[in-house]
Amino acid sequence: MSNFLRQVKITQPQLATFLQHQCRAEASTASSTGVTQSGSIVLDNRKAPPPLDADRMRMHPRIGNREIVGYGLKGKPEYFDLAMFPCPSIRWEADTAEITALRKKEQGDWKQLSVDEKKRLYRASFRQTFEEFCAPSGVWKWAIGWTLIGIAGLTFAYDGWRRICYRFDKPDSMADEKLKRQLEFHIAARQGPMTGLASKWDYETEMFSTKLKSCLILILLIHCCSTNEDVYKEELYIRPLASGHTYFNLLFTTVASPDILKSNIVHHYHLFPKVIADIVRSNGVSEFHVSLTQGLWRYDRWGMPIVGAPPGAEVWAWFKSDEQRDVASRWTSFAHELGGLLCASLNFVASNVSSSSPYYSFRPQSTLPKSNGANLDNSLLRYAALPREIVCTENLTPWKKLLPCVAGGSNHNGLAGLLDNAPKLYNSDYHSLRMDFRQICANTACTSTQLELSMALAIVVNTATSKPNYNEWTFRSVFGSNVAQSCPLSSLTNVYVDLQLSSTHSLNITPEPDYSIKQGTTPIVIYDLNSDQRKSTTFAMSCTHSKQPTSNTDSSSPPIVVHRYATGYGVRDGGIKTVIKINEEQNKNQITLLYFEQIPWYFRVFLHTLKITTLDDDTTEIKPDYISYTPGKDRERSYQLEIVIKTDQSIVISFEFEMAFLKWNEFPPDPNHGFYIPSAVISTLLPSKSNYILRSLNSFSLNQSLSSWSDGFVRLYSESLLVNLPTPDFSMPFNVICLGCTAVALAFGGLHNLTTKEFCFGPKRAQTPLRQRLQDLRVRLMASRRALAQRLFKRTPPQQQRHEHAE
Amino acid sequence: MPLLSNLLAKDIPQTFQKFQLHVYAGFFFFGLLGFVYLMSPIVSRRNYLSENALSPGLVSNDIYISNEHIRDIIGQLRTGFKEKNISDVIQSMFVQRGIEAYKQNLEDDTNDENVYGIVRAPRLASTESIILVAPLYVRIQSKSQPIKANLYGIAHTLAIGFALHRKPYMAKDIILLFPAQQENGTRIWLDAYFNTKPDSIPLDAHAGSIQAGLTLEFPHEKFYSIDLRHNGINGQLPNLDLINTVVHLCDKNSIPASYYDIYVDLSSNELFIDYMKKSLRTLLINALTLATGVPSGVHGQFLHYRIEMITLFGSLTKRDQYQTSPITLRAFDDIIEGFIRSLNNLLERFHQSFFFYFHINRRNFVSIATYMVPLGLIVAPALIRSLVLYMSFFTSSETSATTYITLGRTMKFDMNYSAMFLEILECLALSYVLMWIPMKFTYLIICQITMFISPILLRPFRSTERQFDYLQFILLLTGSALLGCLSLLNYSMAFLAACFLMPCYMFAGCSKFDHWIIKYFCRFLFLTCLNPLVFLALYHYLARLLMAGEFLLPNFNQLTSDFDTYIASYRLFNAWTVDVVCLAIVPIWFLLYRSTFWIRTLVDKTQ
Repeated sequence: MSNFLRQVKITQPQLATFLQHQCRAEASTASSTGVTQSGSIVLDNRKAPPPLDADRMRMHPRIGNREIVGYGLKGKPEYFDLAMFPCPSIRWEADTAEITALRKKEQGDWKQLSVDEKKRLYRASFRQTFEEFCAPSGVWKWAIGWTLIGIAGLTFAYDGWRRICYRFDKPDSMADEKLKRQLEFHIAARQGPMTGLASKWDYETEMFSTKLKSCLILILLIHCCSTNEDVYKEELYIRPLASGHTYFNLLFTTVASPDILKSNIVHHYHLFPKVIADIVRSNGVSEFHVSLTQGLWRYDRWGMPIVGAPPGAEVWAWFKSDEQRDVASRWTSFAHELGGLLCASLNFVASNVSSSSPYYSFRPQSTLPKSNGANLDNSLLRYAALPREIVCTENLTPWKKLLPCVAGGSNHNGLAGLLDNAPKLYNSDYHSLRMDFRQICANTACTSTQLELSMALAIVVNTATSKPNYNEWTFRSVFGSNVAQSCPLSSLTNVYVDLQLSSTHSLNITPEPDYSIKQGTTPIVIYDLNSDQRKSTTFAMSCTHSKQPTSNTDSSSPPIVVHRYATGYGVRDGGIKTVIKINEEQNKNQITLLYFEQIPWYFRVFLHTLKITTLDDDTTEIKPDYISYTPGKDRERSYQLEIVIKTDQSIVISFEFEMAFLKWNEFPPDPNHGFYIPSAVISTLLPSKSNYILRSLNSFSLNQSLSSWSDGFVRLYSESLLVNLPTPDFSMPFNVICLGCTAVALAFGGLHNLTTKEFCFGPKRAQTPLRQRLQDLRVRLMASRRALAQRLFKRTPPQQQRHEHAE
Repeated sequence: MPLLSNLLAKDIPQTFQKFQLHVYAGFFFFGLLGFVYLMSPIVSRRNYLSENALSPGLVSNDIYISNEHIRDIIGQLRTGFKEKNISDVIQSMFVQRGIEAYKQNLEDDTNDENVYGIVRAPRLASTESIILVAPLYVRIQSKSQPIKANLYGIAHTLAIGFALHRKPYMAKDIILLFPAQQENGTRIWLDAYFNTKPDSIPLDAHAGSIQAGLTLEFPHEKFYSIDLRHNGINGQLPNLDLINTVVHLCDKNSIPASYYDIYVDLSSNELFIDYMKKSLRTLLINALTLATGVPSGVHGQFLHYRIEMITLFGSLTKRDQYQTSPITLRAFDDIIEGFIRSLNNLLERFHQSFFFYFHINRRNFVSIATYMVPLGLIVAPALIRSLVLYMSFFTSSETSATTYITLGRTMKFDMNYSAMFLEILECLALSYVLMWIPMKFTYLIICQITMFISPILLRPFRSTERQFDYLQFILLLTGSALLGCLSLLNYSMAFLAACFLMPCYMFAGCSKFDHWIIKYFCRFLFLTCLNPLVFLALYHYLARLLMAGEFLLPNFNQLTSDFDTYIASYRLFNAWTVDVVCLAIVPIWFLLYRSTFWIRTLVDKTQ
């Protein structure tokens, strides 16, 4: 085998397994046959131990006379208990006389041996039995214990070191006062009203109580707060238009109790959005309006909207008079908060530069008892418009979240479900988001008030098809979805379709309407989605309308149309002309127009150029009944112009302005885009009230304005204008500055020299011969070389220096 | 500001005094050569799109307009032109598709009407717009028929307008304007749009501030190349970015685009000498046509209102021997669509790139920094000569014994100005009176003759030599100031005026020498070569030669008729070329001419 081992090269593990097999095989043959085999590896236990000679003592000094019985694991004579390798190379005990005797006896028949002897023999060879050394020792307890102690010690040590080195203060939220307020907040916010913290609070005694009784009181209290005062209505108003468009107006009206605006109490909001109430309460706002609009409402082709809006953003707010903070600071914080809420850049309206306080154009919309609303002067009003604001889904999403049936998150029920597909809503010719907050009378006698929050989305969708004069739309094509289910919170869910086109167009609407009414001469069909048969089903609507070939065009032009444009060209001066066309067929009497214009300060308006003439004849001037003009101030205040005119024919209002040259850092990043002039606002009472669906002053909800006569109040917004101011060339400011400075320096230097100095001829310098000049140059060169050398080798030894001095 | 220094003539190097004339002539000819050198590829720059926002529109196309659709529109238009109710036909086509359209009466006896439609963009509140103009009738250069109906241009403008109606990506309104009577109708429409004339009747609808646009003049139903016309009023040019956008689009759709009907093949197929010849022709025609101050199309009116615009003219000339078929409809519509979508993408008005440039071919141009140098070289002699004269005054004042002392201030040199100013006044008065006569070529000849004989009839200028020098000095300063101002307003005109005035100055200065031969020679030159009418005729002949690109014989009748039409049309364009010539250049020339009749008096009589 040794030969074999010598011949074959095998790896160490292969060798180990091979040897094990060999060991077993040899043991089995040895036990069975009892024939001693000669070999290099001695595995025979029966062999007598070699004598304790000096050689052995020298080689294995530690094992004494213990018998070496085999190769063992590594060829070393050492004892071990190992389940994996049960045959150590030496015996456990040294050979005593007793053992030797027993060994001899063992050579014979084993039956001669007693059990004790057998045990003794075993113990002589092995220290422990398999059972003994495989038994668990429990060391792990010790190990884990000490590890944990070590970790704990290190942690304590780190903490101690940190305390010594850093000396942290406690965060101020851990202060008692803050903790208490936090607790109050948790209670006020009803964190876990049934099982959590708030369930342990006794609201009567304002103490924590563990009694079950107080929990019952709490539940009753919550029930009382959400009384049936809160009302939520959803409406959708649809008007097919003759121009191949269709006007959709989604109206959401929430009416709540005014208690939520009281300070120093714990408020509960049922259907009213809490963020709005917070903004309104903290800034002392009595009512506000905000609209975000993309596109322009075309009055001449689409008629009158329910509520108009200028392109971009428009905000106005009336403030309460009896507050500590002044109106200007409240307006600033209100606009900032509202802008943050709607993701719009309303913070730009806040400064006085872009806001104004018109006298007549924006009177309060609130219907308050007479005594309260008597003396409201315009210093409590702030109006601002941002014509450049771009409206997108980022505005729609937070606006939508304020609706009760959307606020929960997943279940967009009712008409609010139509808002889910936002890109569809923006693929329209006109898109206007609006929010109005005001106070209304709770009853007809107006003894108490309620809060009304009206939110509306108006879109005008192009529904024309490739077939001429044929329009077709469904809910799915316009909104991308149908009304899946009615909102359980809404007390009213109505869809109105205005059929004013039916005189000239053939309309075909499915499904069949629930009932129809007539508003003036306009027939309107109504679907009640809260009715029993529609409540649980999906409501889908589709409509086709086509023009009848026999009918003439433009049967009903709107009663009043505004058109405004900028006049002049160049960047020095310009003008604005506003044409207000009044449909004279419908209008026999004089109507009163309220014209309001707010112009940024960099367009310097001249009041003396204001000219109001009739459209037909520009020589007949109309004298306005009232003019309020606030001149602007550079960088402080915008120009405001408010005119009241009584007229019975179309008029033209024109004035001129001069453009300011801004400071270079006042230009926006895109100065060559131009600067916007906000829309003019024309407010009037329409003479023929019956024909138009407008919101009434009593309620934003159409359900009420349809049932009562509309008072005909409209606010028309003209186009906003884009005018280019004188702009320096920003594309190469550096070149311009360099060129300008060089030109100035050249011109100035020359002129300065010419005017302050006198040129005269100096004496001619004597000519030196070339050789002399060369010699001079050489001397100068040598001198400079020496100077350089001195500087470089400053640390020359003093001896040498002395030597040099001597020289 | 009194000068402390005495600049004396002895400071001037003697060698300069000796070679003065050579130096001036050298400057002049180097200036002329420098201008010609502008066409070399070393000086010119390759054009590029400076405004990045323009590039996306060049990429893909969305609109498909079928042949049948165009044919249908053309059919309707044809009946409209035949029955003389074209404006009604166009308006009804707009209204049929739900696009608002309006008419504007020109308020004259012809009863013509402008028609315009506005395609409203859904994304914006009508604050900005793009304009497409297709004049109802287009001037073409054929003898039999001076104007032709712009059928193809109108049809394509309408088709593009209809196709872009209700496209969700449009952010700027598109105004489609169809002016009657070309420039006249355009001007009346623009006056009404911007309300610049108080008596004009306001338009029914506006679309905010107009950013830029395109004029389409395609009288022929088939065309083989597009001629780009960009000359505006008084040498105004549209922004280079706008032109580059169109040129890029043309190249993308492999439509040959040319300037002044000169097409330069930029591939390597063309010989270098041909390239140079064509570039030089383009450059010279550029200078000659811009100098007139008359625009080459209706777009000139828009440039006046800061609306960048060029005219595309469908030319029948084939640019390549292999070009057999006309430009396809698809390629042409791609250009207009790409252009509109590039502009639609534009956030700001055109303000980058160049407003002052000379094209030498469609891909290369010379910027203002380069082309100002030749003019500077030409005008430099006038400034140097005036400085030399100024310095010489001191030398002569040193010799004279008396010094004027007026109001406690010592005069640098004494001078009796009365005779000089009398002369200047006389010349101005005479030239203004003569320019008052209605502009007709035959009348102009009479004016010239009056001017020529005026020194004989009236008393010629008599003065001492110093007074004569002083008059020259004043004229030189006036002339160089005039040319300097003019070069910033209308470079081409300044260049031509400099080419004409500088030799006049030289020969007028030469007449200082007393020899009678020199005097008569100078007068003869003023009668022949340096005569404004001769220069005009020369200019006209050169322009005709360059336009035609082949040898032509001078044609006097052509000159008179062209001149008369120019004078008749020029009032329409708000141009001031003739005013500048009559009020500034002709008087200076007249003064120079009269100074050749100068009679030397040894002592100032008034003293």
